[in-house]
Amino acid sequence: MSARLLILFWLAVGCGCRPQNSTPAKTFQQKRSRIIDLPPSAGKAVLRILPSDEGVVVITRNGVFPYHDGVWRSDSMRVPVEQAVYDPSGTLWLSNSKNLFTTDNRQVIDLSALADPVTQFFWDLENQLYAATTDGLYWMADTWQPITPLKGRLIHALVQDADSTLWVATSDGLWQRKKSNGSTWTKR
Amino acid sequence: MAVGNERYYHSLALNTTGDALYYGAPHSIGVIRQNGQHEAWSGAHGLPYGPASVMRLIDEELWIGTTEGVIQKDTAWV
Repeated sequence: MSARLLILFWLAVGCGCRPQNSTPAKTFQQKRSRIIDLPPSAGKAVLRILPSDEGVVVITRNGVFPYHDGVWRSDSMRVPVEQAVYDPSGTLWLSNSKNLFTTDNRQVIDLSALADPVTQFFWDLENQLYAATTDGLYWMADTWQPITPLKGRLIHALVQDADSTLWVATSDGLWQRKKSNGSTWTKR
Repeated sequence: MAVGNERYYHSLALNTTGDALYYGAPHSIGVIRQNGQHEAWSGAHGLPYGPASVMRLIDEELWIGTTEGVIQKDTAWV
C-alpha cells in the first residue's frame, strides 16, 4: 500500500470527515482526502500509522516519524524498520531482519529462529507475543515455537476479541483459538 | 458460514466492544457477530472494489483501505 493511500486513509479517519448526522439519508460523493507529503528522509513505504499521546506516529521502512498539529516533529528516529507494534503497556517495538527491539534498545528479542518474513507481531491480552509470518504463526516462550495447525500458511492478520478468542486471517482460511479450548485451533 | 466467505483472508478488524469481527476476503467483506449473526457484502451489494488490505472501525463505521483507494461503509457505500 502506498504512503499516500495510507495518509489519505488516516486523514479521512482522523479529521472527523465522516458525516456528523447519525441518520444520513443520502450519500454524498465528495473528496474526503488531503495529501500530506512525508518528510524526505521517511521515504515512501509506510508500514504502520499508530496513535500516540500527541497525534500519530508514522512508521516507514526508514524509521519513526511523529506527526502533531500538522507538523512533522524533529524527534524522528532514523532506523531501518520492517515491522512495528505496541506491547500491552504501550511501549513501541520495532523490528529489523534480526531483532524485535524497543526504541530505547533496552529490550531486544532475537528473531534469528524465524526463517520466514514476519507479516505482523501481536501481543495478546495475556501478554503473549506472537509472530505472524509468510509460513505460519509462532509464539514466544524461551524460543519461538510454531503453532502446528497454521504451519505453511501465509498469515495476514491477527486480532483478539472480547471473549479472548484469537482470530487469524490466513491464505487458507479464517482460524480461531477460543480461550476455553486451550491450545486447540479450529478453522471457521 | 457467512455468505461470501472465501478461503483467502486479507485483513481483520474488531468493533470497539470486541464482539463483531470484520474480515476482508478477495471478493467480499463480512462480519461475524458474537451472537452468531453473519453478514457479507460483495460487488452485488455495492462494494466498489477490493480486496480490503486494511480495515478499521471508527464509531461503528467501517473504513477500508485497498490498493485502489479508500472506502467508507455506513448506511451506503461511499
